[in-house]
Amino acid sequence: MDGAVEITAVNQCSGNSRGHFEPRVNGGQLSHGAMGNARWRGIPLKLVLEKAGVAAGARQVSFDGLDRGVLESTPDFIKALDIDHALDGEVMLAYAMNGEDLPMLNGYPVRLVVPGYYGTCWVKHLSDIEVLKSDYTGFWMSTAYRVPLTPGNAVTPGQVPAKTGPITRFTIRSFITSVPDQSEVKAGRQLVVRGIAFDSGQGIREVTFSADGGRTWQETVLGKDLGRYSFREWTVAFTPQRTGPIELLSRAFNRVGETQPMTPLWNPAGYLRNVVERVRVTVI
Amino acid sequence: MKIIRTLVGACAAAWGTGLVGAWLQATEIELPPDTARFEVADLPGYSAALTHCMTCHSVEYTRSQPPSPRTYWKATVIKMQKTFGAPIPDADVESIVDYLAKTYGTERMKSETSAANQKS
Repeated sequence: MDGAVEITAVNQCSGNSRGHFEPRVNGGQLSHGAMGNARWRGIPLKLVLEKAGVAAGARQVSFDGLDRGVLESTPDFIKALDIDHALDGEVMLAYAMNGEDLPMLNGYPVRLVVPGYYGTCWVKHLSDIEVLKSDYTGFWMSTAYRVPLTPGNAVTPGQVPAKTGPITRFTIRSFITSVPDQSEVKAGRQLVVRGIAFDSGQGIREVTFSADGGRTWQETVLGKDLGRYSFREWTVAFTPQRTGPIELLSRAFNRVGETQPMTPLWNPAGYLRNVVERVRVTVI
Repeated sequence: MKIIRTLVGACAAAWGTGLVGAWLQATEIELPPDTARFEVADLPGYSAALTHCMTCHSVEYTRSQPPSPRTYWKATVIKMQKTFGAPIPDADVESIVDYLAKTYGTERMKSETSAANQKS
């Protein structure tokens, strides 16, 4: 299709890892699985908007899909982006995922892809695009999917934030993917630990690894760069020495110096988790 | 097994080329079976919960919530009714809240703790 582009980008639920919040929060009790990385192919939203013509004074663009709640009375899922974001050339009307038509559950036939932003913005089964003169104020923007407007979007556990705004970009994260939590590894045998890291599109600069609960850190080797919105694979060789319990950690740094906190940040909806995760293993 | 039948193709053709009906094909999506059930209770809210809650979401969502006080369950039932438009009669709200708070909330743990204390 004329003007089609392809981008590799992570999609992640706002509440990914909510089940690990402490103190716990209500909502879907997710572990870390509500994310994925795929090649998206489609037409930049910018091309479509420019073809239609955007009048001066446009403020936001809203997006509705063909999906509906079970009940007519449930608020329709409509999301909005600021006009500058909608025209940035990266937001895409995607019709293919990993070289094939979008699967139904991934938004067939066309979905919004908003690289670096939480999945709530990635409207599926896209059917209506509207350019607006003012901020869209529907339920899914003005009431749901909001975060405290504080440093780190965090509040003291239990505190009700004074001011909130719509959730936007991913926080920076990394995961160890080759060693399961609560597993056993052999002393004296080299292990190649693998993992992934990603952020909201600044690009991963470095991932460090600790095999002693965070006391000492070593560099890892970054894998192929599939673009700044993609998972970045990393690997590190490590030989456990003494037997007993140890904790494996990974910590990502991006190109603007952002990194993952060592202690978790908290917000009432359980969004944005990005603390350095711990994999507990026993050396035998 | 829940199966969603849908016609794909119609929208794709309309979207992509304007050639509606160029190709049409039925497809099925098999979702994992929804096996979670509300815990049977001798409380008036049990049958009301059975009637109203599963229209939109699974019981798994309810029973996986962290230990929560009655205020949470009340706010949630009212959110389902007022915000999401679930047709829960006002008369059933309190009984559903009571069932949820005692079956899935912190009140369950309290009653279990006091029962355990009485035994010891």
